[in-house]
This record gives sequence, C-alpha cells and structure tokens, in this order.
Amino acid sequence: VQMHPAKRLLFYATELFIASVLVFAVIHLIPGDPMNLIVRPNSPREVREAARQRLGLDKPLPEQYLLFLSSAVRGDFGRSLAFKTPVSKVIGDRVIPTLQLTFAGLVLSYLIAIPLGIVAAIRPRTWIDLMSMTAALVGICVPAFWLALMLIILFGVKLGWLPTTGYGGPRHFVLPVVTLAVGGVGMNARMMRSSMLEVLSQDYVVVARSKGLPERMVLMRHALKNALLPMIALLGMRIGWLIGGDVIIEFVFAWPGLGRLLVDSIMTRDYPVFQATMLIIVTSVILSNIVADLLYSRVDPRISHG
Amino acid sequence: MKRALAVALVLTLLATMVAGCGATPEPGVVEKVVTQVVEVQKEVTRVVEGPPVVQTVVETQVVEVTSTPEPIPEQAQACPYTGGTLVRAIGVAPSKMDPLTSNWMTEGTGGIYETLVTRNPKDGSWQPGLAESWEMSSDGLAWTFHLRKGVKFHDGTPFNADAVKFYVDKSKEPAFLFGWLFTTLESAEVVDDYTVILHLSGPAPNLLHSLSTIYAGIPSPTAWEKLGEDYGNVSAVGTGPYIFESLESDVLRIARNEDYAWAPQWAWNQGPPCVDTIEYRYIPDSAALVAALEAGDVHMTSEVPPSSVEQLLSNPDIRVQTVAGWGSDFVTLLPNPPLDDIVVRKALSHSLDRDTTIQVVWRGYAQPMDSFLPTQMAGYYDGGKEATAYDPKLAADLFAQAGYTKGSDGILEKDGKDLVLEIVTPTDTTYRRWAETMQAQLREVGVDTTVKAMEWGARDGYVSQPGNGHLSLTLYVWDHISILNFFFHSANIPLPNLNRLNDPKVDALLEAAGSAKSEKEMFQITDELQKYLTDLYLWIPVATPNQIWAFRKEVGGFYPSFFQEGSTMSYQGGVYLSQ
Repeated sequence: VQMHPAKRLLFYATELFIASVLVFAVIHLIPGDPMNLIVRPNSPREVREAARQRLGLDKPLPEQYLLFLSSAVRGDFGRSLAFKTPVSKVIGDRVIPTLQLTFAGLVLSYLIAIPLGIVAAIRPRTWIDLMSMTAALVGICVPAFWLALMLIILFGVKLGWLPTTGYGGPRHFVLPVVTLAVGGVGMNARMMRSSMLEVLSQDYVVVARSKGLPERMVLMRHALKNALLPMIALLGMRIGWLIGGDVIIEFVFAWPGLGRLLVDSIMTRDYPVFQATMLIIVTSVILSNIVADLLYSRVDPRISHG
Repeated sequence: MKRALAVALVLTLLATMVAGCGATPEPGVVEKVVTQVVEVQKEVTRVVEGPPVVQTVVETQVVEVTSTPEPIPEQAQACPYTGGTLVRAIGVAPSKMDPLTSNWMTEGTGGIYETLVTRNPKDGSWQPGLAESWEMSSDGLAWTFHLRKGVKFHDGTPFNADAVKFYVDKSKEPAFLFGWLFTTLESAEVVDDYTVILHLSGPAPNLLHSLSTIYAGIPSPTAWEKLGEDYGNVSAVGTGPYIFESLESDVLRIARNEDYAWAPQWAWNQGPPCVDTIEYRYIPDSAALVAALEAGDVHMTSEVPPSSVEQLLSNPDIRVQTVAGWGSDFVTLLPNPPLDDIVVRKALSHSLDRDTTIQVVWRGYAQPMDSFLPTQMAGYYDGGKEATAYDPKLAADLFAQAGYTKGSDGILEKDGKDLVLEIVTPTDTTYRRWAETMQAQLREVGVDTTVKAMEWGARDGYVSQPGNGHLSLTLYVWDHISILNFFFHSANIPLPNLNRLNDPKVDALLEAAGSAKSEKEMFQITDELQKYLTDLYLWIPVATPNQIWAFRKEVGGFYPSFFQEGSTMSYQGGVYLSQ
C-alpha cells in the first residue's frame, strides 16, 4: 500500500483517536461501579455521590471522554483508583519488566525459528523438515500456562536450578523467556519455512543457481533477504503485543508486567489505569506498524514511499 | 483475578459495627501437621435405577493426627535464631499502606503499624497494645486510654496522645473508608502526653474490636503530613517491629526495627524481630505459589489451595496447618419470584448437602455452617440447625406445599411451568465447582438450574438489580458479629444487602445491639435478631473454608491465627528462620 507520508500520518492519528474512543467506551459501558472500590458500600448515598463527583465520574460520558482526552494529550492520566498512585507511576513500574521479558522472548524465538525454518525449507520433505516442523507444531500447541508450570516444577522444584517465580536477576528471566519463546517459535518457524520455500522456487533463484553461485551464497544473499520480508511484517504485528505483555506468562511467573495490570484494571474497574494501558498498547502497535513499513522499504527497495 | 477477589473480600469486610465482642472466642485451631494416608474400606450405596446396590470400595483418606506444630514459646524469651530474610507469598498485590485512606491493607502492614488494643491470638482476648490500660466512664461515653511510654515512630517522632488525636481527627474525614468502625466516636481529648480520652456520642460495645483492627493502626503524624497523597506508597511509618523498606513490582520489604521494645505482653519475643527482613511477594497463580514454596523460594504462605494440601503434606520440608476460618460462604436467596415465596426458600434450604459440598469444593478443608456466624465466633446463634438441615424428603413436601408437582422429566412444575432457577457465581474455580455441585444437588430434588458465572465487579452489578438471578454464591471474611448489620440493615440495599431486606424490626434490633450497654445485653439482642432472620430463610449457610497455612520447616515462632485476613492487626515480630 503506497501512501503519502502526510496522508499516512493523518491515517494513524485517526486510528489512534478511534481507538481512544473505543477504549473509553468499553471500560465505561461494562457493568460494575468503581465506587464499590472507593467508597464503603454502606455509606450514605450522598457520600457515594460526593466521591463520584470528586472523580468527575458523575458527568455525562462524552464530557468525561473529552476531559480524559485533554489531560491524556498532556500526558496526565490521573491517579489509579485501586493503587491511589499516579497512573504514570503504576504503568512506569511495569513497562521495563514487560519489555525486558517480551523482547528477550521475541529475540530467542526468532533465533530459533529462523534457522529452523531455513533448514526445513532447504531440505523439504526430509526427516529434518519433519522433525523441525513437528517441533514447531508442538510449540504452537502446548498451552503456555501448562508449559510454564512444567518448567517451574522441573527446573525450579525438582532440579532447583532456577527461581520458580518473580522478577529479579538474569536467572529469573530464563523460564519465562523460554516459555514465551516456545510459543513464538512454532509460528515463526512455519512462516519462515513457507516463505523460504516460495522464494526458492522463484526464477531469480534458479538463475542464481544456474550462474554457478555457491549454494550458500544463493541462500544467504538472494533467497534469505526476500524470505525475511513476511517475517518483518509479522514482527511489526508482534511488537504491539509485546508491549501489552503476555497475561498468562506474567500471571504464572508473578511477573510485574502490563498484561496482568491490564486484566486487573478491568476486574477492579480501575478506569484510569485501563485507559492509559490500552492507549499505550494501541500507540505502540501503530508505531510498530510504522517501523515495520520503514524496515520493509529498506529491505525491499520495490516498496517505497512516494 | 485474585485481586478482584480481594476487592470483593474488602467489600464484604466492610461492616457497620453494631455489636461488640469482648468475650474470648475459641479460635478453634485445627492442626494437621502429621498425617497418614491410609486405605479404608467403605460401603457405598449407589442407586442406579432400581434397587440400591451396595458396593465396597477402597479409597484413600488423609487421616488427621493432631499434634502441636513447631511450638510457640510459652514464655517470653530471646530469639533462638536471628537474621535472614523471610519470604512470604501473598495472594493479593501489596498496595498503598495507609490506615487512613486505604481500602485494603496488605499483610505486611501488621509489621509496620500497631494499635492501641491488641488481640491475643491464643484466646482472642483484648490485650494492651500501644495503650497500657483503659477505662470506660459509667455512661460508656468516655474511654480513657493510658498510653505506653517510650514508644517511637520509625521516623523518630514520639508516640503520644497527640498522635492518637491526629489519628482520630483524620478518621473523621471522608477519605477514611472505615469510619463505620467508629460511628459514635466524636473526638479525642489530650489530657497529657500519655493520657487521651475518646469521647463518644453513644455507647460502643465494639470499641475495643474496632481499635484492634488493621485500620486502627496509628501512622506517624509527621510522616503522614509530609508525604501527603504519596504516604503509604513511597513510605509507611508506624511504631511496629518492622520498618518499611520498599514497595515495588508487587514486592513489599520490611526490615527489623532495632529500637523495638514494646511488644504486646502476650508475645513471646519482647525485643526486636528475629529476622532481618520480611519480603512479601505477590504470586497470583496458586500452582506457581505452591511450587515456589516447594522449591524454597518462599518460606510461608496462607494462600494454599485445598487441592494442594495433600501434595504439600507429603513433602518432609513443609508443615501444613489449617486454622478454622472466620467468615462464611453462603447462598443468598435473592428476592425474585418464585423465591419471594418463603415456602420455596424453606424447601431450598433443606435441599443442599453440606458435607458432600465441603468434600467436593474444599476437599474437606472447611467447617459446615448452620447459621450466620461461624460456631467459634462470639454471638454465634445455635438455633439454625433445624432450619438448614439437609432433608430432601422435607424439601419435597415443602415444594408440594408450595404447589409444585413433579413432571415426567423429574422436574418440579407449577401451572405447567418448570421450576428453573438461576445460580449466580463468581468465575473463580472454587465457586464454579460449588455452583455445579449445587446444580447436581438441586436436580436431585427436582429443581432445574442454570449457572451464570460472572467476574466479581459485573456480578455485583447484576445481582443488585431486581429480577436478576435466584441463588447468589456469596462470602464474607470478618471476625465480628457486626457483619449482620452489613448484610441486613436496610441502609445497605442493594449491596451488600442482596436480600433487599427492608424490615423495620431488623433495623431496630441492629441499632439496639449497636448501642447496648453491656455485651450480655447485646448478645441477647443479636440472638433475638438471628432467630428472626433464620425464620425468614434469607441465606443458605454452607461452609467456612479453613485458612490453610504452609511453612518451610525452618520457619518457627509464628502465630498463625484467624486474624490474618485484613481485619485484626497481626503481630509478626516472633517469626524466625532456623537456617
């Protein structure tokens, strides 16, 4: 898709605006009253309404939305209803652990998946292909919570090599990162394999081979570069998810991440935290799409921005 | 998800104090330290179409052998071991620790703050804390507290009558969510540095209980004023045996207060705590929590799921101790047709088999309930047994009396319509299992049910609306009879008074109990009240889940008591690590 940069910017801004409306609407429209969290339930109605007023939750929804938007634009997301701390602090504390975990998981999954996919593609329908694709399939099928618990029991409890849960030094990263990577390997390896297979059947590969180029050169110089394109697109899609964190893995490993915060904020009707977290995720998805587009055009000169 | 549960618990904890209990309830500690797995032969009667078939089955059972766990020293002594970092796993993320503004006080606050009155974990009696003694005026409207001398807050501020007055003044502000603890408290009068008089507008038989709760922990006025809104997040300053160290990434650290020399008289360790640091780590997933305990990453927890008890018992490095819980898991009979008919409510009340439910849902780690309060709580009404007894035959008679007849499909019907009731349950596994068990049991007596599982916040909204649902699975965790006011006073309609009970007699009795002159008088009133409520068939009491504690074997000196769950302040200065 080719688009003028200005047009593209407008497009993203609109996207962000629509997302902010949806985010706001969703959390305010689900049943449940945050006053249950803030005011004692048996307090007189006046106290309840006074608290509601103090938080501006008595105003009509569109007005509340505008207030939220105008302070959000200035970077002020208010105070968490549940934690009573500024939302920026609640989220700030969790951004780094989330990013550390998800990026490590992503890198590891690519490091495993790409060679696995290449190997499978250059020896299609051999035992190597079968083995690597079976491994990939298993990676997709194994539920993360189950794998997480099995790893905890094996490496944490039985062998005692690694800490079972919690956020801390490098040893704390091993199990959650591996769990996260396993899920990604399956999808990425299969993607890599099919993309590589497709490229290898292209004319220019045949030409390169007939020129007598060494196979390694054919694969690395010509085929791999093109085969990586869909992987980059995939990466762009993954980054937004990475910032949102992985709820299940954060939950099982007691990892102080954004994914769990998001779920908890829905449970407790912590409107400010939910809205801010969602907007950060949406923004990062949009940003990562931009980055993926840019990367794409770097790798593939045919795609350019006019 | 646990957090949501905690919030629900908090909501349920909030109770207007109407009645007091200064008596000494028996904590009813069920110690299950040594257990054996034995095979037993059991005769089971199965009815599968036709005559009953008696089969003998062999099943394994965990047999309880009562013995004293790591004994807690009877007399005051020095720490047998000093040093180390004790790690406690908690099931709710630690959050703001300010008694004056928080709606949930995490476990660690019991180490940081202290209260005027303490509660002896051995017998539940009220004992001196930051107040050495107290006396009540003859009209019950003025309580004089004589404060302990030489007590200092962690920031160096001296603890004195001004600090108490500061707390009382702040507790009058709307930001204090537990004002109902002190409804009649008017003001504090500073007589001298170590004498303070609390003036009340009416008698408060529950004052000592209120003053011993975790929300009556007294913060340093200096630190509180200085930190403003951030107080409780960036620091929390009390007089307790531990000093706030850090609160971040779901981990709370508190460290030994070297100056601590004012432990409650009943505590065996009168000096500074034995361990250097306590770390409270939030582990939301219970399977991961159990693994962390087995791996030794965590030393102790009170969050063991019943399904993991057997596994932990087989681990020689771990001790498990179950303590009778304080609270109730019960079924609210929502006032929607056909449950507006008391005969139908009565019939349902006799349709549930508690013992089976306890086995299936809590693996036996719960005590059956037959009334509003657990049996060990002061003010427990023992006249509820008959009204709640499991009696399917009686239930059938009552359904007939209400005009229901059994259709060909075994379902009761009236005027050609099947009796279908909606069970509303939170989404937590335990409650879903309970809902399913109930569904099976009600099917036995001919009641068809649907189950609606909702997360806590949505559930509250749903069942507060007239017309929604019939049987709502509800719980409370609270160690005081005042919970009756919480659930039945008309001011609390629709939440937590889900029965929407608007009965002037009930309100009058609740209010009379709250201003009773003596405890004896108060319990007479609450007995009458509970009798009246029992006859209305508003709840089906089911069970009080036990609190299940697990400790690594190196942990000692700790009082596992019922006071842990966010109500009475718990003393933690005695715990030590022997390795």
